[in-house]
Amino acid sequence: MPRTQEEFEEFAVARTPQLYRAAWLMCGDAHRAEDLVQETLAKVYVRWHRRLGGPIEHPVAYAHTTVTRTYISAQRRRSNHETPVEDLPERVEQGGDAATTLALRAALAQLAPLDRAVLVMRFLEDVSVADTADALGVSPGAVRNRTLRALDRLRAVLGPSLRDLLEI
Amino acid sequence: MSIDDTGVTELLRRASDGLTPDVDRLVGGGIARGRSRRRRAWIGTTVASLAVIGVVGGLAVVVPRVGGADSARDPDIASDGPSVTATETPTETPTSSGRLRDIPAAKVPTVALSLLDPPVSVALGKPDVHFGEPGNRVVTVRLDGMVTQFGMIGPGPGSSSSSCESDAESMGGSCQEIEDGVLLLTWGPADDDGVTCQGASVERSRHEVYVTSCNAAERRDSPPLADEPPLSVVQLTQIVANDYWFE
Repeated sequence: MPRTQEEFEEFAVARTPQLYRAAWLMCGDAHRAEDLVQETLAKVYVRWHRRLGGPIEHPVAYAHTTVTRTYISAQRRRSNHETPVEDLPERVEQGGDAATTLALRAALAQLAPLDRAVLVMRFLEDVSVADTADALGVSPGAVRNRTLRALDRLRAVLGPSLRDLLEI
Repeated sequence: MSIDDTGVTELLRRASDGLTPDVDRLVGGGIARGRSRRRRAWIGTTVASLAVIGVVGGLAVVVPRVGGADSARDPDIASDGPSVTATETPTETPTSSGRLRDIPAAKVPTVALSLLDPPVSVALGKPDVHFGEPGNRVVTVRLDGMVTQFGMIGPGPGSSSSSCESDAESMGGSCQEIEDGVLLLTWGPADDDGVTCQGASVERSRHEVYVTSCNAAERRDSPPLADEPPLSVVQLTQIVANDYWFE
């Protein structure tokens, strides 16, 4: 039995802040994050109202997998991928969450899109290695490797400030 | 994993804690895009539950081109008569402002077929108008007994190139910008429940024209009546990409 429109709207309103958070961390840009969230909701909407195939078994997981896959697909289509900045920030200013945001944004910008998606899934959404691998269409080993590589990169960019930021 | 891994979780959370998205706007936009995608892919329950009514019996007709020498004014389109004629004749070169031309929903199929060059020879069934408002015209007909849907929608939320490409990807199709700001989306043939369908849509200035054609009497759970839908992707593209739809 398909779920109703009202149920979808309830679900969407409840999940959008989390989807936006993940989208923003992956995109690093508010406008692209908004576009990504709307694309995600559109895809979930279509699946939600499909008569055949039954209702989505785990809507929350489905939506978060969709946002990540949509992000990856969009990245692959983009002719101009983000290019890492030449100069890595040597020091991250302290000063509350604004500093955290700026520091992390700069650090995430250093990562490949897939690595960024892996970090968001593994550490923000607490998705298992196996489920992350399934969502991204890569092997569990690749997820582990990308995780380690991304963490190394973050440490390289943030350096000691990573720990400092966490102590603010 | 090292001790810093848990720190990353905390860092990600704190860095994104202050985000305050406009939830209502994002949800509204997502729903609008979802609806548009459903229309294009034609998986709506409304259409699936259509009754087959008034199919013209077996007479193959050639639909004259709009403005062609053999076109004539005949308001009784898609009647049970032996032929169907177009009733809209452009008198000037379209300026393509982006607004949809004021064509009654019931006449859209006839007008659409009349845009094909060379003309197509099909038995055109009686149009079944689902929505007839100026900003939401959706009509279904049977072409040689096979269901085909035409839509003129707008203004809508509008699609970006990226969302069009995303749509195309999810539908197994392709998206291209055929003019500045004019997006053409084509998809199919796609097999769903044994019925093969294909479609095309053009969006210009937040207004959309789309056609979806299938090879069975119904969109789902219906035996195929031919190997392919009566209108090819090329023909569907020829229909939706015609400037005639826009004032």
